[in-house]
Amino acid sequence: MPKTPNTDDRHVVLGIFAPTRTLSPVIDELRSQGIPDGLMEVMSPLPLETSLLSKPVRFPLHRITVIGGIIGIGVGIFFAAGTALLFPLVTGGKPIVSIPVVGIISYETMMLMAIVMTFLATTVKIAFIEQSGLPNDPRIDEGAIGLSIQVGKDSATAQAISCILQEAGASEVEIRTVDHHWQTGEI
Amino acid sequence: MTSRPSVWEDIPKINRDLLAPLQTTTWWYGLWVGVLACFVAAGAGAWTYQIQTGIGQTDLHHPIFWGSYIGSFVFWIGVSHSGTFISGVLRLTNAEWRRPVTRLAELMTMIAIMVTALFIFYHLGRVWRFYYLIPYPNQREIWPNFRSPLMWDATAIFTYATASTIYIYLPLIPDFALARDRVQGWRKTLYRRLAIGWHGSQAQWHTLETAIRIITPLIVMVMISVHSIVGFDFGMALVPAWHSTIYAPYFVVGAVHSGLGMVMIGLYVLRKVYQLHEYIRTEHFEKLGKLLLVTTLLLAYLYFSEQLTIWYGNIPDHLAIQNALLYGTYAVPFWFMVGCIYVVPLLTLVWPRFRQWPLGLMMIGLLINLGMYIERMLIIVPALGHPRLSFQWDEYFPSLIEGTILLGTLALALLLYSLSVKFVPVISIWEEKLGKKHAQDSQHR
Repeated sequence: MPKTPNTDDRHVVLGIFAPTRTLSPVIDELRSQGIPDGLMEVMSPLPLETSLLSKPVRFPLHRITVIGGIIGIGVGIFFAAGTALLFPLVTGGKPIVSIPVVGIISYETMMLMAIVMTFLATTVKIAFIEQSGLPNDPRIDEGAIGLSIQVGKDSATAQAISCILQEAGASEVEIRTVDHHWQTGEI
Repeated sequence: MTSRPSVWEDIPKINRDLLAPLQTTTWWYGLWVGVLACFVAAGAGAWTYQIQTGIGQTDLHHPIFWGSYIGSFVFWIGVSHSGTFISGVLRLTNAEWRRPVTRLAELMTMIAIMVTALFIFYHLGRVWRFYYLIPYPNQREIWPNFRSPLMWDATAIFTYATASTIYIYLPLIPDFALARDRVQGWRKTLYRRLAIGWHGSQAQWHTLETAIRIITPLIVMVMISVHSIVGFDFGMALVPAWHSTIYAPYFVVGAVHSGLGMVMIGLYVLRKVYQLHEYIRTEHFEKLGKLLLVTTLLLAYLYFSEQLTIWYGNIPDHLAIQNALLYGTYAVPFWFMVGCIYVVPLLTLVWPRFRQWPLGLMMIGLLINLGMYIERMLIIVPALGHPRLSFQWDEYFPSLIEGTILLGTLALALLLYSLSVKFVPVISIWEEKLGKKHAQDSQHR
């Protein structure tokens, strides 16, 4: 039986499924009920090969890497060429700015900035975006698949969704209240 | 989404097995850590003494101004390549067998880089002036000289250290989340922060896998550049026996060679201590053994090419150094080194049955690392000890202070590794599960 929360705060319905069950039909059913992909989340102990929701593919991480690399080239040129021009030391009649040196330093700073920017974007994405606000569920760590749906403050909708999940074969369904809510959309 | 349940049923056991080292500690572990801490304290004391009394406490003198610290620096940066090579290259080539090995190798990378950085500080005469290396507009109104390969080195190593930290951290996030829910106290708080709200959503998995896919080729490129630049430190100098184009590729291959040897040692010890036979199997040793055979052949080829070119060129300045290695002052360590890193590995690793003997492979790993350390020293000391004017020729042997610092630093590396095993799952748990799932899926295709 689903657990009913005591408050009228924002609700998240969590269904726990055996890993052998396919979630596509229940997700299609939820979509037909007007629930957008942005309010659903599939959770698993390892990455699934097929994307059940459309939202994960929209993140331009490659572009951030390229932008980081370009910034890095600028940093490298500043250090290797800019600082040489800021303090010009003539050595053995050689030019003040050494092109191979600028190339080597720029290569390293390009890689550094590309990797750091990719990392920062990844951690921001993982930590802050598209979370239902649910804590990690140990049952999912132990091999189950979780499907969570954010339903706002409406308890009746939460109950209706929990029924859909149960009919779809969820081994357990819970309605939880959450403190943090990153999504703006509500049903 | 449909798959057979067996892999999923194994998940609780995999979690239990691979998190066990984090949750249990034995008395001998405490003893081991205590012994290592004593050695580290001795090394720290020796370094303090060197700082107080000056770099004259070493045996560094004219014309040999680079000695055991720089040799150790080159050796440890080589070891640090194990993680990137094994994890990065094998990930790029989609080698499924890499999974139990990558985390262990990445940890080695992290610890080796930390240790490497220490050798730069040991070598600085006045270590408190270390910030002169940092490019910022300081009170001297002068910038570091970026034309110097040593400055390239500083930049490259900073890049490599930062990138490696990121590269080990990203795949750890799901494992930190797993550990977060299974420990108590301060470690729970720490893991919670490190897990940055991970709860295994598809969006999170997708982001993580994309990031790893992007960073992997980048870090492999950084790895190659870093050790090339360490090779340039020597190759760019107009010193006989150093001024050669072969140093960059030779250093890259040599680094992978010693790194693989070190991974072999780590794998064997962890498998034995934590009873991970189910995860670190003989096939992993066998495949690493094949890789080690390849690097042995490649390194021998490069070394032979270099020595043959020097011998055939018959330039007296260069030949003096080669003669010192082959028949002179350094003949004993030279031939011992040849045995350790070329002859013995070649004679043993070619046998398929030997490659299935983990203890034997671990011993080969030990030999290779001993040999590679001697080889690094033999690159530096004979060349510097035989400048063009022969009246300046001299010899070098590390002083007691240097020896104590070297020993203390080795103990520090072992200590850091031993402590990290209690903090980080030594096998990537989610990648292990994924590997099993891929194996099962491929069986059913």
